Amino acid sequence: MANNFARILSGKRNVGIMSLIGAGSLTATFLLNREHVTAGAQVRRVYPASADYPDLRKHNNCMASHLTPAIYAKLVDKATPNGYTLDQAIQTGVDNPGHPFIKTVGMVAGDEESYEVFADLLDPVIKERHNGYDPQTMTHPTDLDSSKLKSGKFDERYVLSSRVRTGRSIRGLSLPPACTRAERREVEKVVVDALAGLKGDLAGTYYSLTHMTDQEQQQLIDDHFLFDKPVSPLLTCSGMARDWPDARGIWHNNTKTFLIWINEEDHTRVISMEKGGNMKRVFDRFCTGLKEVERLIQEKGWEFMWNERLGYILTCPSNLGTGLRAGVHVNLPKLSKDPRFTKILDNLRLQKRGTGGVDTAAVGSTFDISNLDRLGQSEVQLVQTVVDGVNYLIECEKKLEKGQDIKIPPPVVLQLLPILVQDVLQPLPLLVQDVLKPLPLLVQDVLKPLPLLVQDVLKPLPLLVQDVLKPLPLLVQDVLKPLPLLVQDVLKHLPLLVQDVLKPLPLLVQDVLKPLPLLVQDVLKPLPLLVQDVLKPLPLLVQDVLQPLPILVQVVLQLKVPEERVPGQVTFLSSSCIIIRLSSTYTSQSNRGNQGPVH
Amino acid sequence: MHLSIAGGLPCRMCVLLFSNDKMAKLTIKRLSPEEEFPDLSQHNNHMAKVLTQDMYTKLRDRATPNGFTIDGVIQTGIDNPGHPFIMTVGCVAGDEETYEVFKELLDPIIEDRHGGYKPTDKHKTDLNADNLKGGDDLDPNYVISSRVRTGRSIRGFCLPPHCSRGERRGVEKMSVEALDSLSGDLKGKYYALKNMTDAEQQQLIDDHFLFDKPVSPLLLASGMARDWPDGRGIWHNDTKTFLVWVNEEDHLRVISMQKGGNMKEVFNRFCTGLTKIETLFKDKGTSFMWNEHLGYVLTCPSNLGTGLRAGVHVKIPNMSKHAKFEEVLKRLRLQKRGTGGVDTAAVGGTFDISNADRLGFSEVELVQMVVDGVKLLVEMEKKLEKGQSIDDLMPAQK
Repeated sequence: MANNFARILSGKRNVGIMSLIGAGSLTATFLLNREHVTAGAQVRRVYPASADYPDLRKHNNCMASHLTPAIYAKLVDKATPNGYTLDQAIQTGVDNPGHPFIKTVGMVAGDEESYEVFADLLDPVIKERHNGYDPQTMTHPTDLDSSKLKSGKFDERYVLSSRVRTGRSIRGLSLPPACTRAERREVEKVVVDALAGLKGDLAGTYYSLTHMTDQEQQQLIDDHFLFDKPVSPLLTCSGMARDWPDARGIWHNNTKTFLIWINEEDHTRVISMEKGGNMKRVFDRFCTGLKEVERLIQEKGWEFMWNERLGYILTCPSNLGTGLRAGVHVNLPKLSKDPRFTKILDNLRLQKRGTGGVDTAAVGSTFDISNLDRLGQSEVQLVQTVVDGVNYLIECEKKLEKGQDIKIPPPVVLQLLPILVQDVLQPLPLLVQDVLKPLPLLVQDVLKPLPLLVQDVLKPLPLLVQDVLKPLPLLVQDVLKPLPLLVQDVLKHLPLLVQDVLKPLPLLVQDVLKPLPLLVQDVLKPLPLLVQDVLKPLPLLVQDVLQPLPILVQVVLQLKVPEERVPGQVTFLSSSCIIIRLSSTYTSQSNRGNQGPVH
Repeated sequence: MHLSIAGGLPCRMCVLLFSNDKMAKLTIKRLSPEEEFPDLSQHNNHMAKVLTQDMYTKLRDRATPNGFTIDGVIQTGIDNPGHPFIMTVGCVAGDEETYEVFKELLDPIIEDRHGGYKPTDKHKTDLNADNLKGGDDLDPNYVISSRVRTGRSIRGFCLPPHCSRGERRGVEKMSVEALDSLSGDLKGKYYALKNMTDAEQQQLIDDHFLFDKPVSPLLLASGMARDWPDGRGIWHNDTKTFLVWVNEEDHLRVISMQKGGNMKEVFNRFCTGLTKIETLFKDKGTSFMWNEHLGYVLTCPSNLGTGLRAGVHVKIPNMSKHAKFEEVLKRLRLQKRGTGGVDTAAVGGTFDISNADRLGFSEVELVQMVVDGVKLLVEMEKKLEKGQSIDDLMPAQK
């Protein structure tokens, strides 16, 4: 609550919240209009939580799967600082028992704090919806550096259009299910002010839904930009369509490639799109535009809702993280009829929709193909997944055209490296270096006390020895250098108990390397007698000792490849869910086979 | 816009109601009333006609003891700017206290909607069916069916726009207990919407008894369809002439109906049933929401007073095409609808004719108007069939 006071006093924002808790009923008395609500009069909750618990026996959505009577009883008397309650958050899931095609989420957030206050319910819902992502222990990577995208141009004989969308919420204002009219208007004002500052190919115009002329409306319909009052009960039951069309509108740039919806399902929906297959350019504009808008609102003291656990905060938990859906309209007449189509999409972590969007059927053989995931992977990673996947689909289509057979690609599984594994891998190269560093000095120290006679006789010896020994550390390093990478590559196939297997590794390496200087000493001691005979085979001996090391390590680590996923089912290998990308034979195939416009 | 705290409270207001262990904390956050005032420039309903900035500023600081606010009252009117055929009310009550707490808004709406009914007027309740004259002899060649319906709310519970799941189930439980103890020709059975078998559902559809989740945005925007079908159900007697809807638009909708033109019998059963049910509730220590100014209190202000709609399905193909049809109805204080109910069109010259008023007239008076009015309409129809004029039958304005 001190936070809220600080916010009011800072005067930076227009939103002021005063919650006077514990200050005594006197203060409450002062604030309330006494005519109709008597001092200390409480909001009447006649029934205990058990009487209000919803009947979810016929329900099939994520909320219903996780809302136990115990969790309900724990959370039902809580409210966020804006007064948003659990009953409000779950209303849409209670009113909509199930969707025929997809398991819906069944709840929404009314504000940023909902994700904290109702974490006991939202965390398991997020985990189920986002393939095991645990907000309590994991962090979400945000990466809007579009230059990292590889080969983002599709064969335009197949790809008709490319599009990337996400959402952004303005911190400090409630989300559409709970916002008041004034808050909604504030969102509109903040965003429209910022958008007015965009320049160059991003410069554009705002069309408010309330003030649109018929002509403007027709143009927006023809451009396929206009959004209308939602009719889906999934959305209307959450309360996000209240006061329609007040403070709703559409902004787009003059070239009609960058589009923003204001106050539809989220504060803003940001869309970059183009006809054709240049996903790279679409993503470039997307990232540039987003960063510009962010900069412009920051100038005025606002910011986006974001945190490192959940990434960008949006109304529906299914859109957390990146909120990103990158997709294409692609024509796949042969592949779409192949019985393996669904499995291929599954393994590529893509989903298909009709060209009218979610819940529509495809027209002809043109599909909307986009990424399945939103949270746990960065924007760059997700768009790359789409690029790689769509290229693969086009390859399949081309193969089928030629009468060749296609392969189901191995599953692209999620990279959710828990921090533990990272911690184990990080010090490895340093550990190895630390062991190797004292080596040459050790060798020199051993050689120094040799008697001068021996030296005179053996004068060429030290040089000999040095010459022989010099390459030793390098040899050892050269052999060991690829080790961490090798280890990483090897580890990528590891089953989940990587930690237990990795921990002894640095020690192993140490153990192998420790006796090395002693070995050298032992070899050097009988020098006067059999120096050359002893020294000659030394490098070879060392090499022989060192060469099998990497293989030794591999053997020690015991490779294990994870099983193939069952189609349509997300399997959790453990609560931390680590499986790492296998060597992607299909990407190299797709790179090879790409005959379209040059990357 | 910057916040300034000058010597007291800022213009942003927060209302916090405390709680003990059993009750919820309610924190209402608001920006200034000017910023929150809805845009009603495109609207055409009673609420939009009456609500001014000053009124909104005054009312938004209040809440009923159940936490219902002005925004809850008017949400349906904001989301539904206008109906093509009728001037809708544009607001609802969340509990009995709404009509007190938000008087400044609701009184003018009630006055406009109910023919000039003043805040000081008293409403007569008369459920004595013996006071009805005639009504048992409407010509069955023309009058296909007769029906009387009203609504009742159970005091102590919030109304459908605002009730919690527990309250709604409480209303259902209490109502079903009361209905289960009816006897004689009123003896019947309850069918909960969520436990209905397919066979039961089909039977109720065939009987034209089943009600479904509302689709009209006028109703949905008020929040009354939340948690469907939890706590909803249909009760009817074995002879299928007395029917009660539980937790649809109101706590209870009570319907008495039968084929033919014997409105007197229908009204008899209506009054008997209602009175019995009310007695049963009183035995349990509660009662219906009622006061001497507004009569029976229901969710929509248009149903205050009697909440009564008495009507017939009547065949008047000639009369309905007559130039003076609307005028006659107006003078008789009747309204026409299609046989599918409100917002439907008539099929083949058969109309649903019922009383236009709800408040300011007693139940007996309203049913009398329907009985007398329909009788006259049938006479006129017969005359027109014979090619005669109806000018001498034109009624005076009631």
